[in-house]
Formats: sequence, structure tokens, C-alpha cells
Amino acid sequence: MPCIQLQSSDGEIFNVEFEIAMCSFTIKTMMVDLDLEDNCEEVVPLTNVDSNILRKILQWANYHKDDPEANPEDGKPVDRRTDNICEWDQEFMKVDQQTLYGLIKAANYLDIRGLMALTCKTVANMMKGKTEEQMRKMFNIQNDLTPEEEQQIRQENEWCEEVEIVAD
Amino acid sequence: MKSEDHVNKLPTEMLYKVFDYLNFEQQMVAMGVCRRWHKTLSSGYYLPQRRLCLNTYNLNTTDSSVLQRMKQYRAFTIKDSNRDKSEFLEPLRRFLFCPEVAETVEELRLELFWYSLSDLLGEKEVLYMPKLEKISYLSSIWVEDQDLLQCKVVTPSLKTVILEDSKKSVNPLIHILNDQIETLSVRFINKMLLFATIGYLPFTNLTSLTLMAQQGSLLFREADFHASHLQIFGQLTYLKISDEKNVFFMVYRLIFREAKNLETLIINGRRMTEDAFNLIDRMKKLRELCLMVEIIKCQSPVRLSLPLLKMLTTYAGSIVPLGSVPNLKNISVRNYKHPWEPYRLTEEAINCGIFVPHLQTLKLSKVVLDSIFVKHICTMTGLKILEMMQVRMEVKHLRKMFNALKDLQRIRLEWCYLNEIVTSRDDIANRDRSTTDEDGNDNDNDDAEKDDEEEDCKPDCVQMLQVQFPDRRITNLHNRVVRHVTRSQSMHHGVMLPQYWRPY
Repeated sequence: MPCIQLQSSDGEIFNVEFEIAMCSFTIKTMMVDLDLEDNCEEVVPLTNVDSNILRKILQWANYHKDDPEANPEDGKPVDRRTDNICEWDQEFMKVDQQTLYGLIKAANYLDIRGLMALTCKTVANMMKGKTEEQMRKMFNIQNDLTPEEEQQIRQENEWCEEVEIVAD
Repeated sequence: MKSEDHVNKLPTEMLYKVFDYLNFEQQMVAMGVCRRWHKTLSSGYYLPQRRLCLNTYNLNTTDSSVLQRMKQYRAFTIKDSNRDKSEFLEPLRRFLFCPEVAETVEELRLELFWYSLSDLLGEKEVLYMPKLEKISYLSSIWVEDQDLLQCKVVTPSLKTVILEDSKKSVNPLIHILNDQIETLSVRFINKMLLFATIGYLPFTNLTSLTLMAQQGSLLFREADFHASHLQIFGQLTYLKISDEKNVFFMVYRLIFREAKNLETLIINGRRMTEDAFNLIDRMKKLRELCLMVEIIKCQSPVRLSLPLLKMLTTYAGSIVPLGSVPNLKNISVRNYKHPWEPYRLTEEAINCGIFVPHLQTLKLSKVVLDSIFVKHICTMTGLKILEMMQVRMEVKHLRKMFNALKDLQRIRLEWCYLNEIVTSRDDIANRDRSTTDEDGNDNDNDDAEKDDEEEDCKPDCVQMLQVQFPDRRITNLHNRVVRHVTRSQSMHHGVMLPQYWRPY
């Protein structure tokens, strides 16, 4: 199995199977552009991803290597469902918030769509069903809104309706 | 470390991606969390998904930044709850017809009780809204809009009109725009109004029609329909009839005879004659069929052979008989009666051909799942998704399906009535001998399958089991168990249950 070497921001080098590394569109493009496909000696530096996060990502990519390839057109989620996370992924997502955001940033940088969706859904799930105050507590956010602004937001919300999306 | 606000270290584009998974209400709540979230969630990216309700209060705002933000919306609802011209009508005209709004607005929803559309226009002779795509119009019987006919309406993008009038006269807007409308939805109480609309105007581009009979509508008779009324059905690719009062009962036949080009047919009615039903077999372009009607049988209805049909929704008490349906992927069996009667599968229904082996998705709602039904579901080996809502069944049957359907990726139970508590996948996957089936032959097979599964160590064979409120009869215990699962899963596992967590 041909391998490729990935170097994390803190200098650790990971030997990764080609097939697994290809889940990242960024690496894929890089390989094609730099014509590295035959040259496995080259080390690919990933300056934005530290070793902890990279290890986690590779673990995920290894499990999902047989998934059907995501449609490159996938930008916005077509539906807002967040309850379609498989058990392995749920278990995988049991991490602290810092790691979670690290994974989001890395998934975005490496352009791994499946992981991006998973991490964003996980954060969205942490927001769902909560009040403003509960969310602030959940994410340790300081309320920097003045009472007047809060009032204004509440009012604007009252004037808003959702545009119906035709289901058919 | 713990007290750090990590989430706001994410770049805004990634916050968007997270907020995309929230629904409208949740986004509204999140907006009030902090200044950054408010800014993100009220940016131009989200505004097209929202409609702003214009009212006396916000139209008269003196805060220019608020007014500026309001002008960024693309969809507006106008409710004339205030009769005061200077407080409502004039500021509304100023707002709506300023170039920034008029040239960008995409959707208007008019709920008018005092004023007509021509009143809104005032002295203006031309209504110019180049991007307006959709207009919904609800007006009271006091509003007469004939003056609109003198006005020049320039809305080249307008394709969809939804009329929620209960008026007697035809909406003049339809007169002016009839040749550019592609999608029309009419709620009517008076059949004359419907005929004045659909029989009178050419509607050369209409392909999608929704008819909603309101309470108090009168029964249509065949003699009511002239050839000119029926012509329009021939050009449709989408037809939806919402007819709870069954006023179309006698004319389905006439309509179906014309409607040969339909790709989607949705009937939410009560009853349909067999000869009307048989005509559906001639709609060879059908891709989606929803028949929430009882078919009044006299001989035996035709088995539908529809080569393109992908989705079928059928009434549990009158399952649509199927012939050749090579492309059918999705069947939904529902029961519209409320309160629903326990429905059991009859011999006739078993022979109707809905248990197609190549089916991928089966949704059942408000039915009783007995052993015969289950046995037939187990033959649908291609099934990937099984969703059950308000289904009454025994857990052993659930286990049986779970074991027989190897390709299942998701089982979803919502408000089902079960005889045991089921809170996780393991409750149905790990079965013990004492609760197995009555027939001994199956037992061995099932156990063998179970062993295979354990050896294969395929925990994700069914990736998801979602259980919503298994049984209301044992509320106390259930509340505790299910709530526990809900909370822990939604917080740690990322499984979202509370979304469906509403009393029925």
C-alpha cells in the first residue's frame, strides 16, 4: 500500500496510506498539482494542524475510507438534520470543546467534507433546544449585548418569519 | 482552560456552517447570545431565508440603521392590521416602492383586510418589481381590486401565485399575469370562483396546480365541468388536490382523463371511485403518487404499472394495487383517519404488491404491525430505511425485521406503541431466546444470524435507532428512561431527539 508522509505543525511525521490521505481535497489537489503521486519520499507539511488533531483526523479517515465520496458541490447542507450521525461518529465526537473546534478548523483547512459536516452537526447539537443563557453557559460566552440591543433583537425576531421551503 | 470561549475563535465562515444546521427558531434564539452571533446570524447570508413582517411599528421607525437592515430582506409579509393611512399605507408605499426594495424583492405575502393591492399602489400606475418570483394573496370579501386592471404590472420573474381568497370575484392579478404563471395554488369556497379562474383564462405556461377546497365548498358534478375547464389539466405536470370534504368525488374521473402528463399527483381526499382510480394507470409519466383516499371498489381496481414511479404514499385502509413498478424506491403507508382506527392488513392488501423487494425506504404511520405484515416486510431485502410513526407493534417483531433486513441503515421509531421499553439499538439487536417467535423454524435461523452479527462485529449494521416515546401507557417509567437517553445522547453523542419531542 503506497504511503505518504504528513508533517504536523509541531513536527511529528505521520506515515499515511495514500487512500486515507485522499479524503482531504486539499491534500489531493496538492498531490496532483505538485505531481507527487509517484513520489512517496516527499513530506507534506500541514502547518495549521497539530499532531493531536491530525492523529484524530487520521483515525476518522481510516474508519470512513470506504464511504462514498462526498459530492464536491456540497456546500450548504440540503437539510438541517443533525440526528443522522452513526454510532461510531458519536463516540468519536466525545472530545472536549477545544479539540472539537480544532477539528472543525482542520477539517475546513484540509477540506474533508464528511468530517466538516460531522463536527458542525455536533456543535449545532450542543446549541439545539437551549435558551440564550444556557448556550452562553455551554460555550462560555460573555454576554456583550446591552439590554437595549437585546430588546431590539427580540423585536426583530418577532417580525421575522421563515420562508417556506417547498418540500416537493 | 475550561472557562475559555473557544467557539468564538472560529472564523465566521465556520460559524455559518454550524448555524446552517439550526432551524429558524433555533437561529432566532442563538441570535440573542452575543454580539458576534447576532451579527453573523443577521447577515445577508441568512436574510433570504427569512420574511419580514411589515407593520406600523417598524415602518415608522426613525432609526435609519434599522430601516437599512429591513431593506436587505427579500421577502415581506404585509398585514394591514392598521387602517390609518398616514401611519400604515403611506410609510408602506415609501418603503416598498423605493428602488432598493422594489428592485430586489423576491416574495410578497399580502394579507389584506382593509386595503386592496391597488390601494397599496396609490397613484402609481406601474408596479415594477423585476425580481418578484412569488406572490401570495389573502384578502377579505370587502376588498375589491378591479382598479388593478388599469395598472401596469411589470414582474417578469413572477412564476408562482398563491390565492387564498375567499372572495367571489376573480382575482385581477390572475387576469393580468395569467400567461406568466407556472405555479398556481387556489383555495376556494365557491366553485364559481374556481371556474372563473381555471376555465376562463388561457394560462399558457401553467404546469403546477394546487386546488384546496375550503370548508363549505359545494360538491362538484360532472355537468359543472365544460371542455374549457378541463383543458388546463392536460398541460399540468403537478396536480395536488386537498379535498377533505370530498367535493371532487364525482369529478376525479373527468380530471384524470385529461391529466395525462402528470409527473406528480397528490390527492388528500376521502373517497374515489374505482373507474377514476383506474385512469391513474394511464399517467405513464408519474414519478410521485400520493393517494390518501379510500378506493370504492366495484370489480377489482387495475394494478398500476407505472414505469417511472419512484414514490408512493398510500392509505393503509385502501392500499394502492401495484403491477410493474421497476423504479419504485419509496413507499409510505399512512392512515388519515383521526382518531385512527387500528388497521390490520387484510388478505387483499397483502396481494396488492407493495412489498417490492427492491424498495429502499418504507414509512409506516398510524398502523398496527402484526405478524403477517412483519413477515412480508422481511421479504423486502433491499430496504435501507424503515421509519415508523405511531405504529403499534411488539418488540419481537421489531427484532425480526432487524435481523431479516441486512441492508437496513436506519430504523426510526417515533411515538410508537411497543410492549417493551426500547431505548437503544442493543435492545432490539441483543435478543434472548425467551422472547423469540412462535414458529420454531425461524428461531434457529434468527439465532444463527445473530451469531453472525456478533462475529462480524458490525456495530453499524444499523447505524441509527431513534426511539421517540415508545409507549405512553407507561409514562412514568418512560419519561425517565427516554428523557435520560435523550439528554445524554443529544449532549454527548450528538443525537438530536428533542426536535421531535412534542406532544402529539
